[in-house]
Amino acid sequence: MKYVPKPLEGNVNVSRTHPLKELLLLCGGVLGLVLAAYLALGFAVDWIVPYVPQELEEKIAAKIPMPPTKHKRHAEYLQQLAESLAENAPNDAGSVTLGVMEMGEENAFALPGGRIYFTRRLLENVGSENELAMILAHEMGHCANRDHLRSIGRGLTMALLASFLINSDDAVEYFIGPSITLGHLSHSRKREELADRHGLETLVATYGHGGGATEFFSRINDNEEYKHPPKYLSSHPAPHKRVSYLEESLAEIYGAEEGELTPLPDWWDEWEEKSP
Amino acid sequence: MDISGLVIFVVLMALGYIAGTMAERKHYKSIERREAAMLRQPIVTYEDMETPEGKRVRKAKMVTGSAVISTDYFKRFLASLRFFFGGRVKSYESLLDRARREAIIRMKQEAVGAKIILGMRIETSNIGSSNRKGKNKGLGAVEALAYGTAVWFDEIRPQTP
Repeated sequence: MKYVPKPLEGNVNVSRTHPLKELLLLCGGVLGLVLAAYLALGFAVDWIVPYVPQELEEKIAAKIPMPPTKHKRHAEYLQQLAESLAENAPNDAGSVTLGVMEMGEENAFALPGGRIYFTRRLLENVGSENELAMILAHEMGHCANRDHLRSIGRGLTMALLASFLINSDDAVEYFIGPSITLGHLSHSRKREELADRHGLETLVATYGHGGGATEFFSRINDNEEYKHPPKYLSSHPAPHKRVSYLEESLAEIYGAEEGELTPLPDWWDEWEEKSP
Repeated sequence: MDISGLVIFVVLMALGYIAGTMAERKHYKSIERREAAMLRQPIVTYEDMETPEGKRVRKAKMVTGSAVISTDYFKRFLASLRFFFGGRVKSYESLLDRARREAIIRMKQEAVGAKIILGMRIETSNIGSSNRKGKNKGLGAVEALAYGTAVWFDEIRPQTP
């Protein structure tokens, strides 16, 4: 038998699929799996949150360290304002406790267990009771919607998915981590909008007009100090967006835009000195 | 959110894809050219043969050829996504194919003038992949080693009376 060499045509050992097509397919598959898991767990959290009893929320809250509260006079004023707002609120926020904290940032927080904190810097810059009421009613909206339970639940979901990814390649973490975070932030922006609407409804029901609703966000928007990241990287809607949708809601739903603003009490600018 | 991590990831992916594809194309061209040039050198996996009539074995020697081919970031990423679904790790197929063919070419280069290479075998091993903390952080490379027995023949001259 004579040996006749022949060159081989083609290559059966290497698949012909284009690597970029493979990349798209695999990325799509993994993203789909992770987002499906995130959405399913997210829905489970949203479904269970209304059934979580108040006592359990307080137990959870007890494990979270609370900042020390200062400026009792201001806190007392906020507490009374909260009680009058609660009478007109569309959703029951449960019992809330108000506090004031020292912080360089203009901000207000709702924490689990119905605790709402204002920073001193915010209180110093507030122009009227209406503006303050809008912010307070927004935070009470978070309490009524039980948004911190939702965010704790979502946080656990994220931790779970993250632990699932820990044993995979670093690169996969880089790729999937941000996608979950984006989903998370989008959810957070929705909750903020809901709280804004709750705040607006309460404001209009209490004062009979929507004056002061947008002042805080306009001020934040004009402030150069706060650099705004792009929408998809923010946990809150952009301030100018909030101003415009609040104004739209005011005009369309409530038909009441401006009215006389209630001034803050005379002693408002007197602060206890920083305790050592 | 860790933006810098994401940017590094995208850069590494692009670099891995572009550099990896270019290197692969160039290597395949070279493999095909050298394979064609050495086509007339027979290799068999058969281990035994009769000495052809009129010839005698001048030399028999083990010849080896080995090649180490590294993966790139892009290929490794595709492979790591494969671990979620299973199936063919297509991105690694070309690495192994290149390593095996390059090893055979190098083995043939060591057997210049031999009539045949007998009992050819290929071994494959992965090298440079250190498992640190359970994460496959090390470099991934594959080695293919081809070896066989090259046989050189001499013509037996007809004996003059």
